Amino acid sequence: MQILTYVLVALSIMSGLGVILSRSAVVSAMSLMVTMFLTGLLYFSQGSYFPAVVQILIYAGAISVLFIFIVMLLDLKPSRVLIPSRKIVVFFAVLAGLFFAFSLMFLILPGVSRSSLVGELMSSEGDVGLFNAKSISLNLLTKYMLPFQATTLLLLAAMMGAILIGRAGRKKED
Amino acid sequence: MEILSMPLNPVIFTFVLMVVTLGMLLALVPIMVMVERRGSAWMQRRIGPNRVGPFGLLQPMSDAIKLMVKETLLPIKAHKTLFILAPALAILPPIVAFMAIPLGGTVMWKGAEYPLQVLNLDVGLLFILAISSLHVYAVLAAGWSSNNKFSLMGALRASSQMISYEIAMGVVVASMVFTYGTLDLREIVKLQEAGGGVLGWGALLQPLGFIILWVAAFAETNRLPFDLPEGESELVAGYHTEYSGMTFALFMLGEYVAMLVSSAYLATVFLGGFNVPFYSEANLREIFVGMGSSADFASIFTVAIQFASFMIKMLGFMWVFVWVRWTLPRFRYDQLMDLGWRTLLPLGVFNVIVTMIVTYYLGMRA
Repeated sequence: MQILTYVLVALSIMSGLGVILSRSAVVSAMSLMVTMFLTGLLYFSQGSYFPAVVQILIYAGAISVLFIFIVMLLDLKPSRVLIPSRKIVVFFAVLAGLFFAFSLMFLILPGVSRSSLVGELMSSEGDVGLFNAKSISLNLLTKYMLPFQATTLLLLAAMMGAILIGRAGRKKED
Repeated sequence: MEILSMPLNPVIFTFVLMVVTLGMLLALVPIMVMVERRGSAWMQRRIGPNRVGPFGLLQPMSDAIKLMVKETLLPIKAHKTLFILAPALAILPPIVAFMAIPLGGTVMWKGAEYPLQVLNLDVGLLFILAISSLHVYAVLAAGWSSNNKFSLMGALRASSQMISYEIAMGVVVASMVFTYGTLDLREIVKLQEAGGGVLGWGALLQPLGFIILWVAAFAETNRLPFDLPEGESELVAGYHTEYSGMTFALFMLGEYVAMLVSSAYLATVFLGGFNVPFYSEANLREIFVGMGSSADFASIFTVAIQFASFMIKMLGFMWVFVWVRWTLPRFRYDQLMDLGWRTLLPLGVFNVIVTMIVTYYLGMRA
């Protein structure tokens, strides 16, 4: 089982590199889907079926389809994509790296990790069976109700923002 | 005979079951193609293929041989990796999804228990939905990599249709979770045993959900009346226009296996799966023990009868797929989207709300 995990990790890193290194936008979006799917398989190999299924259903099955769909509809050719200047790329790369390090901190630092939902589920006898539908939903709807609701508000705001941006573009064309 | 007296390693049992299930799936596809051709001929007062072998029964064999020996063309301007990968992507997800379907009860052999299900997951209800949703990538990859405008149009149509109807499907599945209180398909089948005969079936508890999921299954598998992605009069053959020989056959196989998965899913969630009406698993075992067989063999006979019951239900749905195909004409694309978003989705949401209220007052079944 250990070997399987390493193989899956290696494959998902490779497909993740495919996302950023591929010149064709469609191939890039396809690699993104593969990365999402492999992450789901990684959860499967760890015995937590519910997060795995949800990961595949939502990220690999629904969100990536929309990406690929839009990319195909617009028919993005490498020449048509605006490549930003190196300074901007470096700035955002550093920003993303810092954000990633900050998120990792929650898993590594013992004091911080205990307070998060993942940390709590992991520390309770280290049993992956706790990552089942029941314990996740019970925790989300009782103890972590406020963050959960705040996330839904955030998603709603993002959705409205996207619609607003789309509408603004349409008005200009008319 | 010494081997027979030992308990079997569960891993070996599961592996053998997996191979048998795979063989069954791949064998059912040519049979279904034959049923479809003869069935359509019967409905249209034609004769249909009847020349190869007795009653034309060897026609699927000759079709398969023809497809295998045909040349596989690779368009020069195609994206080669994706073009070759797409047929494989079409066949794999439906096969993996089918493995999570419970095919029968539990075999008892020398004190060990072997459930007749390859992937005995506690989230089977969602797993099948999740894996089936990956089928759309085959269509997208095929359509885009062919570098052909008909293929691309077909792929875009297929994917937007599949995404739209998946939402209606997801809403119905949510109401089924409220009804049963579990995501385990074996558990769901057991719960449907409870109402005695057919009274415990999901189709009676959730008639609206049953109809919505059934209609959505037609759209998900790109079958008539929703087969716009391959509308011959507009798009040649849709996303698989550029495919020939065995690569085309793989798309065909994928479509039929996806139909089998949908039929099996509907049978499991709404028609009691492998339950035999009016006879529970314990009842059947008692009957066989009463007829003079040992407890172990009684469980094997029970599972065999349950498997037959499951197959009858699944193939019944398959026949409806064929029946509808030769009865209804193709929808227009705006009608299709209208049905998905303005009829099925609101009905599904209404169904969930009603289910939530009823469940709150009556409690879940699990």
